[in-house]
Amino acid sequence: MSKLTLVLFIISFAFCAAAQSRERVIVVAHLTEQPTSISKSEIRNIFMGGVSEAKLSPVEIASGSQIRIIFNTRVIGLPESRIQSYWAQMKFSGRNQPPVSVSNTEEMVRYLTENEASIGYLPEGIALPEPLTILFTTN
Amino acid sequence: MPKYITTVVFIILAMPMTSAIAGTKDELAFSGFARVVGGQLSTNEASYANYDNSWSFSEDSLIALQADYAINTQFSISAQGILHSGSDRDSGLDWLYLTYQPSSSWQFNVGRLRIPVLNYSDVIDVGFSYPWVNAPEQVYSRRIFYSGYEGLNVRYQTHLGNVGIGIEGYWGDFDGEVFSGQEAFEVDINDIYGAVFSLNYKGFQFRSSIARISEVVDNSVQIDQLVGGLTSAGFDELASKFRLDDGLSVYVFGAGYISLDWFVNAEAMSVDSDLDVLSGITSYYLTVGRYYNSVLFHATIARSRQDENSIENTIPVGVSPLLDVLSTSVDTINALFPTDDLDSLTLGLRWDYNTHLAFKTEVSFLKGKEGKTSLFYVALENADFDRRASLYQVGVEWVF
Repeated sequence: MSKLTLVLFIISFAFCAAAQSRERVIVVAHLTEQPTSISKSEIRNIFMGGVSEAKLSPVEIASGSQIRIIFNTRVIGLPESRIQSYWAQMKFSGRNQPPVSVSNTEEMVRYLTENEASIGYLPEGIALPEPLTILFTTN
Repeated sequence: MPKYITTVVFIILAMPMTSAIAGTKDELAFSGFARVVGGQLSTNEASYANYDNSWSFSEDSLIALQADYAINTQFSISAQGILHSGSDRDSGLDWLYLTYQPSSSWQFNVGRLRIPVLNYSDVIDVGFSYPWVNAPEQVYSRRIFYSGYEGLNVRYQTHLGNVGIGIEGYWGDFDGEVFSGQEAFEVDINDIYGAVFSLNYKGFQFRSSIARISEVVDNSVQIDQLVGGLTSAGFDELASKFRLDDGLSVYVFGAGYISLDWFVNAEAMSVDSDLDVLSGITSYYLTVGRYYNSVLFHATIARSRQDENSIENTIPVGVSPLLDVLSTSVDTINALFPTDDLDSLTLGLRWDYNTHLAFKTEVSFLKGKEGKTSLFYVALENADFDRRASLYQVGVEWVF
């Protein structure tokens, strides 16, 4: 393998690593009514500021985290840059505000636990306190 | 009527603003955006979108600050001030409005707002929100989009299964110019109303919009003088064609699809004018983009076609010196009408360095029609310019 091929291989691997990560994401909510299941398109709708049957307020993890990349890739289905430009459009035209943002998974668990009718995402396998319910698991 | 509403709103807005300063961090939030845009046109025979043959960074560069103050969970007030470096844009408070959101479905905005005719027309200053450095000139160059209106905007959001539905209506007073270009066509608009209908299904988006400008008031000394001259010489019919006292309608249809890797987006706009002098225009753009991680490559084709001005000069020449002068005036004014037929291809790149900062570059290949304005500004001595040029642009977009 030539050096160039190796470099190209490493670059392409780095680009694809996030999308191909085996890590799975769970979508978790602090529900007031039980039980509820939710479709992927409904989750996407909630996180993009749309109206949904389940009256849940979205919470996101700040950009740069691996769990956010996986969620955006597999659930929202949009590149990060597109999501950011969409929220700039919504915010500066007075239409909508982006979701509440927390800095890491510990903060996410705490926020969801303290706020009824909130919905967020976490890595699969994380210990969940009593009021939180898993609504969706990514592939 | 909307002016009175707006005055009342401004008074209401002024009261909590004073207490907002003492408010907690959560109630009062500041944000903003800025852009530095440079461009150069390949020819020295004309200018386009205010760019000429030398590099300029002052035409589209700006900085804006927005303050949002939440009065309670249903009411909030927002203000957005923009400082422009461009010569034909005024700096000032571009947005100032009260929002009432009784539920997640309903939203009422009242105050100073922008007209949401096209997908990006109310955020044309927020370069971070769109892929290009310069939104397609054939569709987005109308100055109507840069001027705010004072009035009311009502939005309703719902869903039917997995289809998101949005309906929006607006109404207000408006002081601004309709058509860019020559000073002769400065008009004020007193009344504007419109509606937007949108559908979202997975990555598909459809958006349709209609706007009606019902009253246009003539602001042009040149045209006033001509109308006066024609009336006193007995050419009432011709005079009535130059009188700017009717309305115009704008129709927009847009569609797009976006995925993780690529997008396609198009908008078509038709401006139908009841005024003989401000002839209608049809324009569209189609953009295709491909994402490679944080880099976006995009290509856009755009076209505009302006209706032929139907005013025929019926004044006989050689009868009297006065009529000759009048006839020449009619021809002169007629020749000033914009005839903005233009085709273009834009190739561009956007790199999102992080979630707040993006770098852009693009080149637009412009192909107009000789003898027409084609959105170029051409000095008289270069009248035979072939209306072909390339526009090179770079930009930095920042949101904070």
